[in-house]
Amino acid sequence: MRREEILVDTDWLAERLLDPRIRVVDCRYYFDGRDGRAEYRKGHIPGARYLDWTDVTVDPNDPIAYRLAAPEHVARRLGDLGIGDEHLIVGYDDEGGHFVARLWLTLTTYGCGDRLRILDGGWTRWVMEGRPVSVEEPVWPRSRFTLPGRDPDPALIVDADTVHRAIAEGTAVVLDVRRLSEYTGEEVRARRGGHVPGARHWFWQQSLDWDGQRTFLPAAEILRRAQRVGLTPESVAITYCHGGVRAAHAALALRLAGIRNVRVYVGSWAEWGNRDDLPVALGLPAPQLCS
Amino acid sequence: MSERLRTTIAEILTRFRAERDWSLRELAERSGLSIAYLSELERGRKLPTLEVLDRLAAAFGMTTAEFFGALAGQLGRMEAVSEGCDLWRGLEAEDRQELLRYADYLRWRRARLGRGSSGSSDEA
Repeated sequence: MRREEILVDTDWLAERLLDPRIRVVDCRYYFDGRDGRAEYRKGHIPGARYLDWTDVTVDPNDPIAYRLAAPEHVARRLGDLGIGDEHLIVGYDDEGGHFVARLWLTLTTYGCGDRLRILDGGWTRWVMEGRPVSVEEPVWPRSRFTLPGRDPDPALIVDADTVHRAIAEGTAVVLDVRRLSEYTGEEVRARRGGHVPGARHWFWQQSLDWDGQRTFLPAAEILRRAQRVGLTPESVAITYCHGGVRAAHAALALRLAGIRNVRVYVGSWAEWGNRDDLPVALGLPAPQLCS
Repeated sequence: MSERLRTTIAEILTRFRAERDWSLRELAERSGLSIAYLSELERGRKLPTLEVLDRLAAAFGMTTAEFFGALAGQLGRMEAVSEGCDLWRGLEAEDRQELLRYADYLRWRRARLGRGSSGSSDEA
């Protein structure tokens, strides 16, 4: 995947803030108790509206946590926000595209990932560069968004059974992109802690200049970091995390690094850790399997 | 029926969670269910599917049979209460007084015959 197919930079966006064909969405979200929408209200990129991934890419009526919403739900929510077939979506957050990646995963799964661009560096870079900020909340007329796909694209999304087979048969490299403490089982966020047996640990933030502007690192650097856990451009890889958000970001980053066959196990640990029929491993990764 | 079932499930979930001193987040993580959905269940606003109940049983560390057993017990108690209420509602004020007097008499008679208090057999 070429960088320009998905990423845009701050200069590019600054020149197009008044372009009516572009819909800028603020996707900031926090797991630490802060409210993304409140942060948006305090200030955002001029002309942006707030997009809550837990409302657009998850069906709030679905009992299963984090499960990808049906295409009808996603299309309706985007249309309600005022995003239509004529628009190009530009998403940003302040974690290097962490939450926009979930939208990328969703749109790509249903066949129109090309309708989205991620602002490289997002809010972090925008603010560091001292660009204009607004508290005005635009109103967009309701629109019609069409998602062509009904069935998830199997080239991107896999289920637990596929992961299970892949580790048994050695047909894919499974990457756990969560914190190391979640991988080892020290931090338990399901009935069982630990990781998928044989999974390698590759923390998702490794693809970013996390301590700087939170932009994606050059493809060659991401690839170099992926090679530390044995990946090559020819590898078939499956990423997972806890709820299928960090895993989406990691998959996108690995695709940017030139690894084409990267899939996401969306059910992730929220499912695997709670299914007693699936095997679990505990402890640190073997030295050659960590990065 | 669906309302009584919703209420009963809500009560049992709230009780099980309180007994374990878990937050909603903790229950969500152990069951793989969303916090928003669990909150609706505990308020009796949603009727869960069997799959969801099965996940909840596992989250509480119970077998499906134990969980459904507890649910059935609670439902039975609710229905007994409900029957009593229906009976009460169908009576005039005078009838109610008479019924209360008769209940007093039954309790007195039972005590006299040495059959213990009028409490249910699983008390104490």
